[in-house]
Amino acid sequence: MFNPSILNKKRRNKKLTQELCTNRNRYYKLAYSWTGDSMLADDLVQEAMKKAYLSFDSLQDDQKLNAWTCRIMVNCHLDWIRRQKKLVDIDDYEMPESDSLESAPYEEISTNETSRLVRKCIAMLNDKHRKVVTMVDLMEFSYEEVSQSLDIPIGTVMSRLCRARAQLRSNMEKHMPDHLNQDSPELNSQALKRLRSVK
Amino acid sequence: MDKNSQQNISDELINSYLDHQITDEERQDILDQIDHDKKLAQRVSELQQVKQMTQLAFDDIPPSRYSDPVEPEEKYWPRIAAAAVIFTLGLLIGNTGILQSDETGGTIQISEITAEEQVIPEIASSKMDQALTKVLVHLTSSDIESGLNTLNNLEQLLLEYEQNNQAVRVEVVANGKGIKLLSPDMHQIADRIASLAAQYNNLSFAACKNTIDQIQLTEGRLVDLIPQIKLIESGIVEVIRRQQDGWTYIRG
Repeated sequence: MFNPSILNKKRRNKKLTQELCTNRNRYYKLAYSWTGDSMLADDLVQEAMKKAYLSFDSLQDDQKLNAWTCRIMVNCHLDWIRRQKKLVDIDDYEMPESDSLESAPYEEISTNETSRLVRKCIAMLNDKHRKVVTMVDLMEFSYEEVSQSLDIPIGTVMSRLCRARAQLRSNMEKHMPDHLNQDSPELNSQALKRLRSVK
Repeated sequence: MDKNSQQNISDELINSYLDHQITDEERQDILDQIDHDKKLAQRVSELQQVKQMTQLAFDDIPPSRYSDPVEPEEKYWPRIAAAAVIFTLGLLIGNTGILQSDETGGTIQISEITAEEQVIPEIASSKMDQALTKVLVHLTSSDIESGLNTLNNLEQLLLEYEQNNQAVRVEVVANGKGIKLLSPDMHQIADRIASLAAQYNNLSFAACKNTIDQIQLTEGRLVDLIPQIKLIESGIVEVIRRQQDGWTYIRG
């Protein structure tokens, strides 16, 4: 006969599945920022969502679905890297041929030159820096969520983010100086207003 | 002042400020220092620009091949799972049961449903059959417990189909004593129907006008129905026509 616990479980699974699907594009954007390839990003998201769906029972706190799913996606990505580069230390992994703008891997279909250049500057970061900065800026994760997704202490999140943004700034100044606002040390009033707008 | 701030405000703290990871007090402290320290303002501005450019950099990437998910009303489903779930529902409801169970089916082989097809809707969409499962639930009893049980089982069926990316159309038809369950006075039933009707646009409820007219004639009272119920001329005729059209019949 009717079993309320089964129905509750199905309701929960339905809600979590809907949330996963709602966030698919965000996962895709994140995966693309890691791989630079739309097909690979789709496969990564698909694999992570499938694993998440099949493991809802092991999710302790439904509020942490996004961070938990991203942790699965991180592991899927690391598995993929291992398959590609069996002899390379994962911490040293960089996106393929990302040492120069010309050879960086992102697909060349963007009509926005600035975006294209920024993506290539991000591609030049090492993998662990790239993951932290993209989780914070694309997923809008808190440092705690990044910490959970990458299984590292919050202090490590902060230091990696600090180094990642400094490296990113350096890459931008080197490879796309004309696209940066070079506010002089004597900041104008508009720039100051912009800074104060951070809430 | 500049020198002190340079020492006090680390890049980590600036990042925390930009990422909204600090307290209001710390934020105000940074803002105060920005007002008086041009070099600090410059550092904050540079990192803010890095953050903003990163946020915008992936807005024009190639679209995901799953970027246009299938809308619920357009979903399709495998026949085998459809028949299996209806069969299960029939057993759960446990009354006179299925009079016409094989309209959607043929041979049922549950093992043919792969794990992949059961996962996320988009995974399976390319493999879906284009069959339609239509279920008619016939309410003829005024027993509240039985009515609630039927609604719970209906929700279970609807959830099952939705999770398996299978489309189903369910119509609940009440006549005879079943009409009583659709009265606003039946609060528990009314609440459940309102909730289900709001949640599933593939579920509808209908009441037999002949029965209602008969109650008014014989008992001299008007029959009030909850808003989600549509009136049909004859419940029995509806049941027969639906079955002729291939709907699976279940008595609730």
